[in-house]
Amino acid sequence: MTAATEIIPLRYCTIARAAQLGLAAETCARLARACGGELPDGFFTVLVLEHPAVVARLRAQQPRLCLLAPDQIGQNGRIGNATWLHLMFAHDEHELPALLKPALRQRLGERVICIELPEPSPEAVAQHPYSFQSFRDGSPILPAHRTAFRLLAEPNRAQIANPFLESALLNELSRSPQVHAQGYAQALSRIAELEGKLHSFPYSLIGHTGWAMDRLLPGGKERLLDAAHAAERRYGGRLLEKLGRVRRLLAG
Amino acid sequence: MRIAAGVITRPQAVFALSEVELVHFEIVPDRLGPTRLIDSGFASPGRYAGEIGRRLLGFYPDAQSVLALNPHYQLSAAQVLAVLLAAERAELGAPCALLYNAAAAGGEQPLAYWFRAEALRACPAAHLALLTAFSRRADADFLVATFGGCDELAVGPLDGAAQPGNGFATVVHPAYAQMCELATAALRSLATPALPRLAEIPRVAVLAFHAGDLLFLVQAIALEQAAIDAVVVPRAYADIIRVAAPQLAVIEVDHPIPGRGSYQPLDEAETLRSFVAQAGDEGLSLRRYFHLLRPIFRPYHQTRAHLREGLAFALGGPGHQPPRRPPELGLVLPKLASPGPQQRTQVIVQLDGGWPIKGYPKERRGELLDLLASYGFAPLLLGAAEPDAPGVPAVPYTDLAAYQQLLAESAAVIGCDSFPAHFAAACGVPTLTLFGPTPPHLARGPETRRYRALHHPMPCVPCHRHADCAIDQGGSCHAHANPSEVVDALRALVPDPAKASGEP
Repeated sequence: MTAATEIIPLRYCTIARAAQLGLAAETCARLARACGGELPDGFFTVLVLEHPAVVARLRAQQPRLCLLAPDQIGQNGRIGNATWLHLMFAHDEHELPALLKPALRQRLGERVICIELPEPSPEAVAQHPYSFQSFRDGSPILPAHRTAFRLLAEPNRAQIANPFLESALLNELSRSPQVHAQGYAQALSRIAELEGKLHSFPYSLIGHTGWAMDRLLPGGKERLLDAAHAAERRYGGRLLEKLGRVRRLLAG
Repeated sequence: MRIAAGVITRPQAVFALSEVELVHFEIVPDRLGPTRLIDSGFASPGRYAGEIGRRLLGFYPDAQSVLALNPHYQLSAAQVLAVLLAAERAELGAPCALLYNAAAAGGEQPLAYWFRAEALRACPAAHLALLTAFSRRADADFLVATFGGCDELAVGPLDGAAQPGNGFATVVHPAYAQMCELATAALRSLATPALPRLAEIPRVAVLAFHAGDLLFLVQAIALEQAAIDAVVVPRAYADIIRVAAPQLAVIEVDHPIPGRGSYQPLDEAETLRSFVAQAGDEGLSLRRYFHLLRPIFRPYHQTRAHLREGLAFALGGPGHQPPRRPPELGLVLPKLASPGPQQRTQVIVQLDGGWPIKGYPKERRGELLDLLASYGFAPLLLGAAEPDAPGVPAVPYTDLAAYQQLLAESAAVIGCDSFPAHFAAACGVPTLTLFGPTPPHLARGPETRRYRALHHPMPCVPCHRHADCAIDQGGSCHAHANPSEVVDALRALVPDPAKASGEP
């Protein structure tokens, strides 16, 4: 007697700025084609790194995507007002996806597949500027501001309800010599992080190699994506696990 | 993280040291919080240093040690960094350390106090209030006697002496060094280290003026269950402590009272030091901790906290926001068979304060007393008779027992921001407090149906003048309520005698 096979529908997620939502929608459509049939609820969830008010507006424009705002993730499904504001201020748009991925996975379940999207085009960025790039008074938030905020002791950070209103204080703090030293250290670690990303399988293929292939051979990226999704579907989303087992067997 | 450090200053710079995390604290008039400390006129810089240490232990339970930068000085970012680096690099062996400014004259300036976490946890918050914060020698001796050892570490080179700040410009006074030395002698007589046995030495609060503040002191001790064993007071105020806090020992000293006669204290720190000396001359062992709660370390009017809360903080309480209800002191008034509370028409009216401008305007007193009489109340002046109302009886304040008897016979009390009104409110007697140049938040009574505080908020309040108004150089304060407002408020507190007696 064979046990009935439980079919667990695959779900996908990504973390994106508003400027990347076009790419997210494109990826979602491609995945939907590869999956075929009826798609589960929340088939493709996007944690949008924009102000919740902006996300609310974007929901109407992207009905196929399940959009989450930064205040909708965390341990109990929501994180406190101060927490998400602090997070959005303390880190820039390049650091946030790696930081938020665990919380997003926790909310959506461990079996969800996280996809990294490529950088948006300059046109898309111009059309959808990042919500958290300036203070409420319009002055730009520089890396030094974010570093200064991170270097404040936690009890002092907790006293700042909304750092986006504190341009005067953070301007003053950003002039600390320690902030500049931290800036250099951060830049060095960013290079290492990007190098690591280039070599991580399989999403590096989709996000970076695929992008490069598309430039060389129009349509190549789409074929690669379809192949990757088909393979993943066939192996129940456990491709990495299986590869790991093969590696261990070979090593043994 | 090895060292949790705290400094009282608004964040001006951030520091990223591998072994030290620096928290900025502020002393604020209101909106208190984890890093926002109550502005208490009664708390010494040492008390604030102790509070910084206590809060740091709460923020960082795993910290190995705590560094409290001296609240007495307003340190620049460079000076703060120099202190942090010195603490980070030092190999300190003793349970605590004093970091001092080698560039100051004689190397006398204590810049920071460092404690091993377990040593500080074992030390009551009020104990460090006895640090002078200006004498390296006195503080180091006190710390050695308390903890059994204290490393002294030079910080520098700093650019000259650190400047006093954070409102503590006036704390350098021999009286505080002397109290620190007395405490050190008491600790040495016990054991070294004395830390496990600190509670064996009596802790004494010394507060000279005024009577209302003494009542708030008693309430603060009750609120915090502060480890205070005795109070040193002028003889004229001793009965307040005896009645309101019978569990406390009272050490009486002879001293004139401000506002009675022409006496005004010039040097309150010296006054308090003389209280302790007088107690010693009369045979009291001085092997005690004497907490000098006056003069005001910081300008009292900056804060929006009640004086009771400021005192509670000085004695080791955490400082609270919002203010708590005053504690029940168990004050019982004499029982009268008749008339019952509803039938009483006598209203005690006390219109003088500790200084002339604090009292109710003299030109309105006659009108107020007439208005009270017109509504059927029987005003009884506590203090001197009023020339404008010769028919109104007056009784002098003699002692607390006589005043309690008067309260038992009266329907209500109308009083200035002074002891009689505060005590009446603490007894539950319907009370109307009239605030003028002093802000109501410092001394208002409980939020009950039996209490009202009347005040016209004016930008000049609180004012620092004693005898005349800054606006018109007159002899009275314009922030006082007018007579009709006073009587209307009284009628909201107690039944109208005319209605109670069934008159039309």
